[in-house]
Amino acid sequence: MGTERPPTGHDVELAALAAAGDRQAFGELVRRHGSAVRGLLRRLGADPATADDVAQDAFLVGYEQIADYRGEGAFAGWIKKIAARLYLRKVKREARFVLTEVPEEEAPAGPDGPAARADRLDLDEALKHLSKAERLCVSLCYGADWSHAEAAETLNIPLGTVKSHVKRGLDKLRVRMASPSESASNDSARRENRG
Amino acid sequence: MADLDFETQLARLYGQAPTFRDAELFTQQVTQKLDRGWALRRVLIGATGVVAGVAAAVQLVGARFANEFAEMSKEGADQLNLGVDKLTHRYDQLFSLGGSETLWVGAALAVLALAFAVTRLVDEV
Repeated sequence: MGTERPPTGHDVELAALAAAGDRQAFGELVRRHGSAVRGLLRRLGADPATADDVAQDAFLVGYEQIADYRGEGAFAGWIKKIAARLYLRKVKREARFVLTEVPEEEAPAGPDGPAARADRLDLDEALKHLSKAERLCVSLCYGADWSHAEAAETLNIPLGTVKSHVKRGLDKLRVRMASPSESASNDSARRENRG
Repeated sequence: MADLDFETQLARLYGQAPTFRDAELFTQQVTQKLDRGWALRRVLIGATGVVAGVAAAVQLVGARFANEFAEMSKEGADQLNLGVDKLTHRYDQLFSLGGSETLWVGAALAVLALAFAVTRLVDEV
């Protein structure tokens, strides 16, 4: 086989090498994007073990289909889409939750206390406050770069439902992730209103 | 925060990969699975090639000696010596290249299949 050499170069070059059978080149792509894929799957709602399993499967599928990647977009986006699709298939197979359900909830509460403020810019922390469906839809659209229509089609739910989940999720995230300065101005405005 | 700004910020945050302590282990696990899958595939392809090669060789050689084998079974044990003599004679004739193309092709295929198998085996080991 090939000689030992550190694979370098752009993702597209590495993908071309991998398509020609260079597994070292593909290994470098895994090294570069493994964490992003694992992170996305966790943000979609997968537990760490499932996320890692699905991420591994995604890279194996990616290797099989690497010839289809022609560098039109970022490799990270391409492999994330594969991972998201695999995860959704798994979720649907296990029917973990009902995606069509749009629960009527009260307006999302803002974080309070210094500990919560420290987490305001922590996406992962903020995502924990979303429902599973909201989290999935927001992460698919903003993390895996899916359109609402793509998400609706793959999840087999109405487009309007996806949009509702995304909107509710964004509203919650917006509150949770408000920057401290913005939050402070909101707090003072609230105090003024009370006074 | 304007909606668009927030959505841009969100997309940017999603684009930032978290750091995992076991990132290297994950990479190793994936590459090991790839290597294992590839090795298995090569063994299967090699085995298929060997089986096909041997089958083709047996068919060719068998077809060439079909008449002799049929004769032998018909004539029985008492004619065995005669058959062997005849076979030996034919065998000698075949190696004179004149009417022995099929045997040579069969033998060549068998050698190729064997070489392929050995190469694969050495490669895997």
